[in-house]
Amino acid sequence: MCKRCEEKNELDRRDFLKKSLTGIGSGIMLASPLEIFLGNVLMGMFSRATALAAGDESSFLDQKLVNISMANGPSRWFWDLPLRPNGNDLFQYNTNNDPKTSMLITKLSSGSGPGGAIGSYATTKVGNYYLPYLWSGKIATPTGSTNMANLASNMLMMRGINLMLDSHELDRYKQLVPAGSDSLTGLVADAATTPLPATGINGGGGYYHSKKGVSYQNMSGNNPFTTALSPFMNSSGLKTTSSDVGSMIDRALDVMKKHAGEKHKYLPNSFQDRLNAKKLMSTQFSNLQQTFSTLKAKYENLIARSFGDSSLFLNGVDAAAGIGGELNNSAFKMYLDTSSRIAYYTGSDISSITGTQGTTSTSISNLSAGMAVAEFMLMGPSGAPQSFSSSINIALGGTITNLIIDHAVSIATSTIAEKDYNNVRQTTNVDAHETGAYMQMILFSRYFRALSSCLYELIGRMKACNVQGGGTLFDRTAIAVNSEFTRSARNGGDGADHGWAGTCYSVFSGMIPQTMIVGHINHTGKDFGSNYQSTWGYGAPMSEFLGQTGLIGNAASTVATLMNVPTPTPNNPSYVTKDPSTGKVHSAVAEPKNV
Amino acid sequence: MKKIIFSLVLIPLLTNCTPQGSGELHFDDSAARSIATAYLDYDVSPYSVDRSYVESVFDQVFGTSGNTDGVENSIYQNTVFGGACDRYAASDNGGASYEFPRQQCYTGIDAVLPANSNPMRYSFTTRICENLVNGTNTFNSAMKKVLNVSSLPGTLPAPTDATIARAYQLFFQAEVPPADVISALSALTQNSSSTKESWQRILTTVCVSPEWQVF
Repeated sequence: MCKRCEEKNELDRRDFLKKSLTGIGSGIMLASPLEIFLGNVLMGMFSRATALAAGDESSFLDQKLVNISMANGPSRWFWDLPLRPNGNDLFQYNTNNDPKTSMLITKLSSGSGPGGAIGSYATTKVGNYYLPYLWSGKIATPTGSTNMANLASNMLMMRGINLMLDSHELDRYKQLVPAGSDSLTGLVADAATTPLPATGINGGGGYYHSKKGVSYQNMSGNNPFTTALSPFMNSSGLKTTSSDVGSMIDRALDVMKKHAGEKHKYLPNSFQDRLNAKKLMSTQFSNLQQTFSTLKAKYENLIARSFGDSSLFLNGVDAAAGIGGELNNSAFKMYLDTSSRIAYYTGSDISSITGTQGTTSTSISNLSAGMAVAEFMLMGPSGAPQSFSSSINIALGGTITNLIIDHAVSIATSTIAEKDYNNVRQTTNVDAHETGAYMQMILFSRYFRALSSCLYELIGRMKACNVQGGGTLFDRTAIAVNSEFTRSARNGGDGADHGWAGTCYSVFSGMIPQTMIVGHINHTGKDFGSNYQSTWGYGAPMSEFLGQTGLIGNAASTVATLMNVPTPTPNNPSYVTKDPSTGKVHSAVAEPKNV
Repeated sequence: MKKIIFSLVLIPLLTNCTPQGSGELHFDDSAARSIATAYLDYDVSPYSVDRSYVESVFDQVFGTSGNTDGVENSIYQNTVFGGACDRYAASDNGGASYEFPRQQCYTGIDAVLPANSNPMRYSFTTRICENLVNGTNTFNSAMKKVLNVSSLPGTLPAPTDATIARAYQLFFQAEVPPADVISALSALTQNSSSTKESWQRILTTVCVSPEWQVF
């Protein structure tokens, strides 16, 4: 595995340098000095012969799950919640079907609406479906850019999922623990062949449960790789890890393990834990802090460019001629700073709202660190074929930080005075109750462009890693992307609330052979509440589920099907079935429709 | 008196409530066995023993209590070993130490913390076991228990089946090791440079065995 990866990465390095030199002439964006530096550091890491001990091919034999949990529930109709997947589905903007006051805006054009713009729900065709307009744009790669549509090639979007409950915390937990028993992450960890079966960053242990008692290791801080691996470091002088005495001890423990297994069916897991510990203790880890920093910097760069690189901007989304903000118009309303102060964007050009990035870049909390953890835990350090973990949970924070705001005016409240924001860095909350239609489109489009870019990079790394038995690591991995809920669009376009009765759930995997969409939604949303009468994603009955809407258990069963593990919700069938001969899935339900 | 009368009436009713004839319950040997081992079929996570238990075993085997060997700190300051703690125990007693240092809530643990089996636990266990087996006083303490003597002879006796069994029982109280386990532990003496090293290998193996840490 490793040698193939290194060969591929050597090709990547040559290709990268070539592209860096040829720049625009090759059709690829010229990389910035920072990108060139990062690229050289990364490629150097991949190609150097390190002092790492030989890795472990067996750690790639199991199925891998990466779960990305987006806190605070971003509005997902900009990205993985297609509202008109067939192009001609029933649809309404709001009670009056008026786009000028609708939240469901994916593209702006010059017109008579707020700020001199008129919005619309625009789409682009990708594969057999019409996806939100953002998919017609580009996303950043370490060496330039690519079409976002390339990310959808192995993507399953499940929509119209009713969580039956409105809660930030509990709905986040339900994505992994749909029935209060075993978590998807725990079930995958139970079948893991990796030494740290379940890991995660920024929490996650509270909604993790393994049937076999396999533990979860949380990472945090500025040096998470060392946090995860420090128990195993500096072990070179130990007899139990040396080859001769250690092997004799292993043989004796094998005999003890046999008897232990007769006494307690889970005891063999503990013996395996000891072997996993020994395996890691026999490995020499070096430069973990540097490795993390370098990987994190790669993803930080992708995220920052997603917000501020004008060459990635999509006309009608990030930029539109003559479109600026407007004071006291709810379409341009947004949360600002950590106290959720409400302000209006009043600048003259929406393309400058995320401004020049400079040294402090716009970011999504925990995304770059989380992606670095995923890449390292899945594929290990360069030079050694070692997967450290099979079940990785990335809990994103609920804010966009260091957003550059020019010409925003906050409204006065009883405790906070009115204030002008001019080219100052601010934080905005993803829980966009009071963020209006146009600002949501501007901010969340950048948010999802950043997430897409990170996913594309991670998936590309996995596709470059061939594994024993054929295929690549991506063919054995599912990346689940979910949030506490999507958002229920208010009729007036002045904000969006908790859309717990119509959330969506996406999965990326080499097991998914094409862009797939499943799940029905109600095109009026009226039963959810009088203030949400639009096609925002409210779940609709499905005949396959005997007239019930999709539930989070159906999504969990789908991930379990991909992972070849028991579902935590056996009463809720999967949206897909898996062909054991090809390892690919196909839809088990009817084409998505709006009712 | 009313109670006595009530009881006399009730006893026949209770004793007659067992179904008669074909419905009568019989507890044969196989049923008894299945009841006795039924808990093994529960799909529950195994619990690893907590830090207090682990440390007590090391205390018993190696005589580490009160020693400055680092065992207490290694175990008690380590969240992977789980176990309860008392936030109030960390209160300063006015001197340079805590009132009840062994009960402190290290690294944010509070309340009861059940611990699962995990690789970190066995990494720490391995280090502690090797440290104790290689330490003169701690090794001697364990060997006194193995040989059942109050002071060690000048030359350690070579391991026998009986003494190997005692070494095993230091960690697995009241359990007779199977013959093949004795053989496997005995095989550790091959190519050993000394009798002491043979014993160190045996004690290390039993000490790092995960079995005694899982219930």
